[in-house]
Amino acid sequence: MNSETPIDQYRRRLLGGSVAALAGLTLAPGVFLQTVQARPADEPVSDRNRWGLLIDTNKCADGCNRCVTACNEENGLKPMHGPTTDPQWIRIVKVKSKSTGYQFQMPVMCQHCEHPPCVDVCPTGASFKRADGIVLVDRHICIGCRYCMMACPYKARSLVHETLTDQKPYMPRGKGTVESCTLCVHKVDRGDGTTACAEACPEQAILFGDLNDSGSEISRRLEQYGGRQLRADLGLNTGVRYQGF
Amino acid sequence: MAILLWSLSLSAASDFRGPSRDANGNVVPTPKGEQCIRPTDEIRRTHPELLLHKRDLTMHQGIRTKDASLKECINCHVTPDSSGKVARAGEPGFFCSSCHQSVSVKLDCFECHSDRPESADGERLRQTSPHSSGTPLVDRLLSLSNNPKAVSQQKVR
Ligand code: SF4
Ligand code: SF4
Repeated sequence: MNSETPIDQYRRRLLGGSVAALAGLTLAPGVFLQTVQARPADEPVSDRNRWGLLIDTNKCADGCNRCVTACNEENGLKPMHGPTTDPQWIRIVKVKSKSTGYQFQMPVMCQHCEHPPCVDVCPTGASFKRADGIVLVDRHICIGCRYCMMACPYKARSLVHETLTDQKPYMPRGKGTVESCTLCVHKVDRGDGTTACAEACPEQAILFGDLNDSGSEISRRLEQYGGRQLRADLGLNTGVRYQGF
Repeated sequence: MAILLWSLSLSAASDFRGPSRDANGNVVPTPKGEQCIRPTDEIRRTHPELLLHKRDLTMHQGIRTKDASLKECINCHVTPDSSGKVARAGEPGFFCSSCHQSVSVKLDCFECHSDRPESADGERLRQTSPHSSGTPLVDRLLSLSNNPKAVSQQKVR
């Protein structure tokens, strides 16, 4: 790989000054793809990394749901018996200010909480947080009690109600277990350094990265522009952050 | 990397020269690899423990080596028969079922896990599905606009 890629130049500009950095941000979408290194397949995940997303609601285009369809496609979620029971890992939430009438939309998925209530309430230990911050359900253990669905403040989890066939080999899913966004854990483990939703967003509104790496694109953007947690008052220290509202 | 055997099928000879038959006389398709990850007598006894151990390592520690990976068993053992048909889990001729049915062991792996090799599914489809979501509003998120605390700037890290 060339050591003087446009991305390196961009990074240099970003370090050099805020004006240049602003230009760099608009000139170099997709920068985040370059920042993550693959972990060897036999090495356990560790807390050196904390994976997260940064979502810019200013960029999220009204009426678009490409991240949702990409997520469904990637993870094998298919329409079954309608929205009341179909699992949903990302939902588009429309928010409107009562006082000003200003409205916008944003994707909301599992926020990969550092202190996840879903894990606190799970009676079996199926709901757990990996060392690198990704919150998952071990379906081998899950009994489908749905306590975690009640505990999650973000309504991020779904129960699989139907018998499934033709699951993706990398994403086993089945009836009677609860599921939610895995932060495309199979892609993370493969070293893709991105998620299906981030890849699919035509506006580059979703950025995947390592919150523990101060040099990562996500950390730099957060440092420069700040970011917000949904329901930060709950103190869950979410791995998914938002900008723009 | 050469993976698994069809040595588990009950009537299987100890070579890999052609399709064998299971205890009910159904043809078990020839695996892709030449050699199982473990000797035949060992894998017959220990495959449940191997898979269970690997399951926990993969699930909780993200260790995704190929050894004792169910996905790799499937990649090797689920192959088309002479007519080009690939048996599904539970059908006669599906590698795992061929043995488990004979010994009355109910398998539920394939209620969640894919019974197809990765390659058959590996192609990333990028077309948009007609299943659109956009289900409006997480009620509790309404507090975004109502709750001054949630709207105040947060220090991030
Ligand atoms: S957002 Fe919900 S499902 Fe995800 S970690 Fe937090 S409590 Fe658990
Ligand atoms: S539904 Fe499964 S993951 Fe959720 S609390 Fe119950 S056992 Fe745990």
